[in-house]
Amino acid sequence: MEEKIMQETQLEYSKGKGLRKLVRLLCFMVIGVCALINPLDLLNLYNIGLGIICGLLFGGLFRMFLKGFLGMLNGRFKKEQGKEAIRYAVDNGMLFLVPFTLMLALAVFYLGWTMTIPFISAGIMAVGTASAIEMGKMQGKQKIKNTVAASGVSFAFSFLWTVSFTYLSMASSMIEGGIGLLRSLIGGGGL
Amino acid sequence: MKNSANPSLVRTIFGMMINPAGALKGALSSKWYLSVMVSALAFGLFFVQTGLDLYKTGQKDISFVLLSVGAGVAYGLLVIPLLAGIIWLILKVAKTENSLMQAVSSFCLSYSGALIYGVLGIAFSLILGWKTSLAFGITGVLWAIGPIIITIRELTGGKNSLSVPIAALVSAVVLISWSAFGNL
Repeated sequence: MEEKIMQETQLEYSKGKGLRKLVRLLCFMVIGVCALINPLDLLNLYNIGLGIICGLLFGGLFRMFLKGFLGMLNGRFKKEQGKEAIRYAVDNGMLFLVPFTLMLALAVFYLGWTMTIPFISAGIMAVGTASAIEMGKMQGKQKIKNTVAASGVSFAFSFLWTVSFTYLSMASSMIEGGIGLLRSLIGGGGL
Repeated sequence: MKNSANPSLVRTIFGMMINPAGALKGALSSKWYLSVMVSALAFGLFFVQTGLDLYKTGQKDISFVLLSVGAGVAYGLLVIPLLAGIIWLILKVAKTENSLMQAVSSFCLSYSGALIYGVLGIAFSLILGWKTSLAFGITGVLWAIGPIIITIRELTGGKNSLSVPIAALVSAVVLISWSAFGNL
């Protein structure tokens, strides 16, 4: 009987998993692209490519840490409900990125803004809060330790993004320059 | 969404910013006009900061600043409740049990964070002369997204599939309409 209930719960958690993943990946790709895009050359493939890679890498790390901390603080719950439960809470929380990503994309591509950090920071913080709320909903009680842990991880990642953004924005032009140099060397152009 | 307690307006405003799900449980649904006042003030302060920024850079004259106040208050007083009404109609199809006034009240209260940022922004703008419409104004609107999602989710009995796209759409409408105002 217990096993059957467990199986049903697991089934409930895996409902819509694919869609949640797709939405999450798209959001992080758009965030990366919007952050690293060159406003004077919107279709620069180096910026777009690096943006997608950075966005996905950052998103993957953020999700991993959020899951790790929430799982660590809710050991008993994780044991009873399985790893899927924590993943479900975090992935549902990640859906909160959608409005922020849409606003960010509008700001960059429609309004032509270069200021992207507030959108990304606010989105990351919202994901943290939402994940803690999701955990509370599943446990039937909001716990302050979840809110503190999720907000702490989100703040750390928001800070990391803000700090690394300056260097990342320089990286694409360096890669582009390096590839250009390599091409000219291979093509026999020399130095 | 029952009126189990009767918290003060100030407590509700800060509660909506810190813990929207908890604050909504005691939301001022019977005093919807207070909630509408929150969004009217929030947008009044947001728009006036835009006007002040444009005035400081010499792009607009002082009459535009006054127009900004009126436009912002009207936006929070009419457009936001209207958006809430449209959302309520959509949620009615999804079988929400909440009344129109409850929806308007909760939706307007979602801009509590924007009101707090608005107060801080106008203080920095007037006292220190900073340009604050982006740093404080937009940040305030961004802060409203979380409570909007949670409000819609509470109104639909916990459905993310409705709350996330609706919140995304509303946020986009607010951003575009605000930028259109700045370009007037």
